[in-house]
Amino acid sequence: MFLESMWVQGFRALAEQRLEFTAPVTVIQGGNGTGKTTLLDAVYFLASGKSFLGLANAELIRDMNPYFVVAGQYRALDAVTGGVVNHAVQAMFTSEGRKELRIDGTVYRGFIHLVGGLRVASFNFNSVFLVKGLPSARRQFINLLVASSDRVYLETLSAYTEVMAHKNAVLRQSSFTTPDMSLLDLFDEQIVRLSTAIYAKRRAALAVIDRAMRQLVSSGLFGVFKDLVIAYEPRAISVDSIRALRDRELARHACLAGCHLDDFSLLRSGKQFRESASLGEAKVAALLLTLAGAEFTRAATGEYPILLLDDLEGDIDMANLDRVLHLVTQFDQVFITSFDAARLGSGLNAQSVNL
Amino acid sequence: MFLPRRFIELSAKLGSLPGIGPKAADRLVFYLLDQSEEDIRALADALVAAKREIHFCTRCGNFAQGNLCEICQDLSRDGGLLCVVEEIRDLAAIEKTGVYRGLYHVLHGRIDPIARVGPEELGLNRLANRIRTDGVHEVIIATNPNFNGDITAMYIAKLLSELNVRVTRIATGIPKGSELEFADVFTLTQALEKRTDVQG
Repeated sequence: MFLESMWVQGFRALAEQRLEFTAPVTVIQGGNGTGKTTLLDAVYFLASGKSFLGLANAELIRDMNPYFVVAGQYRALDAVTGGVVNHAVQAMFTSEGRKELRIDGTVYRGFIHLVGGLRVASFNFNSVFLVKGLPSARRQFINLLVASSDRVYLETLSAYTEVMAHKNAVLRQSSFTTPDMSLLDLFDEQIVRLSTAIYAKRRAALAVIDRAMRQLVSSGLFGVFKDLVIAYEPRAISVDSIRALRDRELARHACLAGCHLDDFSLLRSGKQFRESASLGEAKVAALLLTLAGAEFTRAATGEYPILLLDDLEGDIDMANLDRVLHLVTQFDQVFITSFDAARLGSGLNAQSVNL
Repeated sequence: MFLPRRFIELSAKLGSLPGIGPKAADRLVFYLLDQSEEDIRALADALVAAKREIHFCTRCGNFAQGNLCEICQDLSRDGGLLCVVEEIRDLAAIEKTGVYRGLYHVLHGRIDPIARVGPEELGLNRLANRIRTDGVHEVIIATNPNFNGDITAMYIAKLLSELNVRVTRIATGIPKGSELEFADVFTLTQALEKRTDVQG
């Protein structure tokens, strides 16, 4: 997977950039506020239809700009034929809320259609929430990871979101009308069916990520994490177990069971890592998860995703930084933001982009 | 403005119709003003008469000029076979095939809690009553194969499960003349799961 060129206009800090990439490593340099992280976010957007900051589309438009455009041309391995295929994507969003997405010339309505095209593994300052943050951060990570290589998972997730929206609408209306119980039963059956499918895929993916994580540690990266494992035990769900919550759901006007409340955790020596980890440890563990996630993508699709590393120097000691930079050479393409390109770039086949 | 007020009013009225933009509306006005007064009156009369005389069939919800629509009055049709559709335009689509000889039930909507349309608003109990009293032996659910259509179909299936009636749903699959590579995974999965035998 290789991003050959990019065009970004009016996206967060970036006024306009037209960039071409040829070397496997692109080092993005510039002072504070020049848009280094934004450029990585733009690549992330092409892969997910979202910002890694979790901002709404309207908030991604640069001040005074009427719209943003993020476009790119990339080559990727075709899973079926095994050949390399070129793709072109262009996403535009206007301050009036109009969306336009073109993938290889075809127009799509939602940015969700970007998922599964360009694939990235992204490490940035928000990644610490993967370890320290709320379950939603971990769900977002595993969802994008699995959906990027599994169309059925993506469709199942959208179907689930739709069921939830409708069920919540019925629950909300229950304060002034008597809800139709058999309609709620029907939604619960769907929630059980879709959640079960989603749990199974998350479980399979997390097993691969757990294995990859331990392999990375045993190869010498972040040796302090030799006891770190992923634990995933989704709460068993059945039509009866949801029905038992019916009264509480009606009182709270919200659906209280299903894969939208799912979570996985990291355990170190059998204890919750989330609670004991320092901020520094959490960041490093997040990087480890990101790299393990990339291994999952490679196992699932036959090629590494594009690696996005934001402000690596701030968090990692020299010995581990060298190991990470060594690992990075396995990837077809890596983007690194840095104040000190000379140090990062030495020994790597790198090109620099100055913002 | 170089156009008379009446012109603009009429164009605005026509422009509010579905599928007609401002330019098309203007073109229609130009065309209409070219016609004789007689023709225009005939058109206006037809509009008013249609609105005044066309109602929903009291049995199936199709358009009807009396109590019952043409289809419900047609005694050659199989009264034991009932096809449930969301809108009259869906009924029209099925009628165009010419292969269906049963009766219909038009819901005039689909279950959509976000738009505050539930089973009650759709009158699904009326459908159940009709099946009980009209001697229906098979209900073919032909709601759209999207989320709301699916939910509506499942709800109806559940509602009718206690009645002595066969409930079927029209098949989903690959459209004729299209190509497999453009089919979405759900359609393709369903097409595979619901594959049929080929006569050798």
